[in-house]
Amino acid sequence: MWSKTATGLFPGLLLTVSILLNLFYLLPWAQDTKLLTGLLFGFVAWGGIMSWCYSLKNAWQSLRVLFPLLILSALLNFWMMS
Amino acid sequence: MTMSGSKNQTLKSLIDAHGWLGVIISVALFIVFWAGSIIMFMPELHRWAETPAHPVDPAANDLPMATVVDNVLEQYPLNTEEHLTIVRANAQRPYHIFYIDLLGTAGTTTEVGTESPVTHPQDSVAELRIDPKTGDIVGDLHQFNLPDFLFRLHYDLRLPGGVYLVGLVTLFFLVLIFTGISIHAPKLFRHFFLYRPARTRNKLLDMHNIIGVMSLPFSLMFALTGLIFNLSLVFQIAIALALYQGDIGTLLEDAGYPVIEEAVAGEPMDMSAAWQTISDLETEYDTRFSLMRFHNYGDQNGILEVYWQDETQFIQGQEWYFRLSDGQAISENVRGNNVMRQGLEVVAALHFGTFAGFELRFLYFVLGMGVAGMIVVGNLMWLDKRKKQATTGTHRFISGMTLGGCMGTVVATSVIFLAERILPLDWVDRGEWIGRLFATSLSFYVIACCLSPQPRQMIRYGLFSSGVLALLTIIAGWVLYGSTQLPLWQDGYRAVIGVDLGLLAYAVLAFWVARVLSPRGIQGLAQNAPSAT
Repeated sequence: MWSKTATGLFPGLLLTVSILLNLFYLLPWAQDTKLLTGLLFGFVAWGGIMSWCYSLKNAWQSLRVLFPLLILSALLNFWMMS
Repeated sequence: MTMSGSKNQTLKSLIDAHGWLGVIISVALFIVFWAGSIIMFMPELHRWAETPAHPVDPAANDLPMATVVDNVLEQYPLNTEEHLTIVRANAQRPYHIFYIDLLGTAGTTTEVGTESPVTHPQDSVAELRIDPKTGDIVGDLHQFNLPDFLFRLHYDLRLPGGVYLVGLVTLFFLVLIFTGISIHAPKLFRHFFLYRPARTRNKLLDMHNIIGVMSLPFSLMFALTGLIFNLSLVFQIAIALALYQGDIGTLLEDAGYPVIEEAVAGEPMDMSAAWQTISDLETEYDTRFSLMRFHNYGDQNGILEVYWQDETQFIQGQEWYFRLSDGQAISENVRGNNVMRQGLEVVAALHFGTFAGFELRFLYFVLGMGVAGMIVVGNLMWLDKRKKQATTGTHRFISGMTLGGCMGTVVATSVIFLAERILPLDWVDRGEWIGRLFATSLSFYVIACCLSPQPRQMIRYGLFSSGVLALLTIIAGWVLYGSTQLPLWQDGYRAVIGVDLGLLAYAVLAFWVARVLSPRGIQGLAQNAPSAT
């Protein structure tokens, strides 16, 4: 259970932040609107990812999905930043 | 693995995680909900604690604020380059609250509650309660610390780094809600009214589910808004680094927190003219500023930051900045013109239930207490399930820590209610003793639960003793302040007797539940219960 917790907490947070940054770059809204939306979306997404990690048999199963998604999302961020 | 096998595996994983997480965070979450429910009545608790000892005559006129400020600053010299903040007396709390950034070593003043002059360090702040009718300093802000202690207990457990710890606990609470929904979703409507009292296990499960489903929107709102208060730093850091390249100033500007400052001019300002300007501004905006924060007080470059409530709006806060020399607005309502600030106003209004009067706060109180009860019930279920697996010593330790932590919080709260009434008013660090007594009582109860051969019976003893303490608090109030309590009621300060009535209702309820939980009571319930469905 501890390994599932660690997976949901840390890689889960990284993925949430990365997706959040994707949205910040993609959404054509004002900064203050994006900040509020990001805050609300961020916690729901983080909690959702953690819950999903707990629903699997072990932490390895969730890492196999989280890491590819994180790499994709991070690459998108680097592409949009450059 | 077949589809149904995979579904069973997922459900098993979710149930295991739900129980495991619940037990780990149960005590902290219980404290957050317990204290949070009580501080729904924070204004009433302030009046209950403070006004019997220092009644304020509602019929008398308020002194002009300029006179009050001059009088206070004579005794507490202000560092004019810092801030003077005044929260005006109102129907909720009949004293002005002053926060004065003190003038370092030059400012030797007599501290409230002590007899000898003291020297304030450079960064110290005097926090005072002032009688608006006489201008007298009635005491230190933390002399009656019960409401503020419970509020801080709610958001930081009075621990170093407690804000983030509570944030983390709230995050796990959100996960508990998500996993709980996933586990219970197929039976959400079918088993909505299911209650099977014949078997203890079923009874506890149904109780847990009923409260969980009933309070679901409320719990979800509390989890999300609580996370925004306590853990948003995590996302702020990421956004500041990645999107603002560490430029915190621009981030704060975008988030609706502009930094408005003026350098000190070094030329004194006639403050009687400034107070007239403030009065003119209140007339112009047809309001009464509930909070005034002065930057560079007494200087030609003085700035006034004000806050007031616009009762006609759901998002009520108005926050403006004015130049004191000519009353010109430097910044219009900084809360109203920014989506982030407006959103946070909504979050705060939802979290504290400030948008629909006493009735809504009472509903929040009932639902919050329901969630606190659900935590204890969930705890009991987990302990029942693990009873056969765990060694007796380990099981007793976990029982003691979790049940003792929850019931210890209940008992410790009753102890500090009594302490607030009976501790001598002139005791140095009177407010600090509230925290010390809470920690001591809680620790004592946890140890007693760990050592007890029957930790569950400690729930009953805890309820009984906290009921007795609640009755003693009422009696102490009438013995010490009997002559002022009825006049206070007649003057409109109904909260004093109102809180006493709440304590009486609590005592009756605690005695009743303690009786139901006695071995004889449980036996009676089992005999009267209908057969299992």
